[in-house]
Amino acid sequence: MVSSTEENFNKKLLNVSVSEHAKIAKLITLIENNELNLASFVLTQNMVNKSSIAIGITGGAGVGKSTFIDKFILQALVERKSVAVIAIDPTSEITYGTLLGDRIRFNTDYPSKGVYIRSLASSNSSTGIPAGLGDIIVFLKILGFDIILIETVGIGQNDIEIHKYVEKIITIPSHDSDDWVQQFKLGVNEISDLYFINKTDKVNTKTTKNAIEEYLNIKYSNNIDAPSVLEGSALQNIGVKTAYDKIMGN
Amino acid sequence: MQINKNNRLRSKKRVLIAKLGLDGHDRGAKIIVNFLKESGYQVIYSGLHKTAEQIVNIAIQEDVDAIGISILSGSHTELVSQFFTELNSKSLSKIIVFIGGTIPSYDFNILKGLGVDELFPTGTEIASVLFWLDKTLQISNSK
Repeated sequence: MVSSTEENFNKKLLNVSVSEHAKIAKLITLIENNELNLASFVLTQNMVNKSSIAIGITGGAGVGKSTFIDKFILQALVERKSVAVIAIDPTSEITYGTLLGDRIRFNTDYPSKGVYIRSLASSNSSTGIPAGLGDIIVFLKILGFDIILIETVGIGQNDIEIHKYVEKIITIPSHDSDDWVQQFKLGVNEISDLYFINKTDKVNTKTTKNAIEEYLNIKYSNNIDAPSVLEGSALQNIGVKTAYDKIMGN
Repeated sequence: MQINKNNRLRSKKRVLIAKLGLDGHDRGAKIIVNFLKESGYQVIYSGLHKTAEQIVNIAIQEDVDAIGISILSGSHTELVSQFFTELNSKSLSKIIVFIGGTIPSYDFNILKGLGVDELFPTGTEIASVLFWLDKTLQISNSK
């Protein structure tokens, strides 16, 4: 049985386009607060835009995830793709407050109404993934966004929950894990499809690159499916196009 | 800082703190951002040098419950007027708006006439911002 609430939701969904930011925002709030449950939404799977791709952007605090996303969006716009970004920031376990600060890094004047950005509190989740994230991604796919970028909270050695929610993962490695044993331990190395070693404008990235490549060389041997390891500067928009082309299969 | 049931209630509410115009003084904004965060709110910070249009677009995309604007440039009357023109054109006129910064008391009525719900000039006791916001967003004061 489909309740009347769900029927109304169906109708609402079908009438929303990717440029209707106010409606999208209100519906995400309802999903986030568990006031609308997509799991019981019977048409969900059929309505999903099959060409939508959800990409997780992960890495430690301060590695440049938001800045990378900012430039990634510009690349997507060159190809006239619509983009939704969900930027997750950590909720305090002590005060329950959240500083949603990723907006500072995003250019607020993307030359398209097809870019929608939403900050999300990790809420009381120990994995850094808010309870509603799965449904929010499905919802954004139903709306028809071509690319859905999920920025995780800054991660540590073993935070890999994001891989259950997205098709691809881009990892921005920390420069402090630049010896082989650190790389062999990292959980994120089991889920990454592409590495973007950031901040070539600021630091020498060679030891980080070597450490990751040593790990990949042992894990994948000569396997051509091994993830790409790219270097660049998100701030200066160097290397982001290459990362975009690789992950999008161009 | 006292952590109580209200922190949980506040944690569902989203507040945008924004810097409108060209002044680059954001210590006050950062203090408010951190204070409201530690009180349990979800706080979105816009960063410096935002236009009225940019702030309204952020408020729409983020589905915020209130917007706090910080201005220390002296151009508050012009900027806030532009801001409300933008806000009203996007049908967001019901959203709660409060302003902090170097606002002389003789401008209060002008700003309230434009649609500002409350003003917190320099020298404001920070707890009064929280008290007002809680009351306006109907956060219960029961312990």
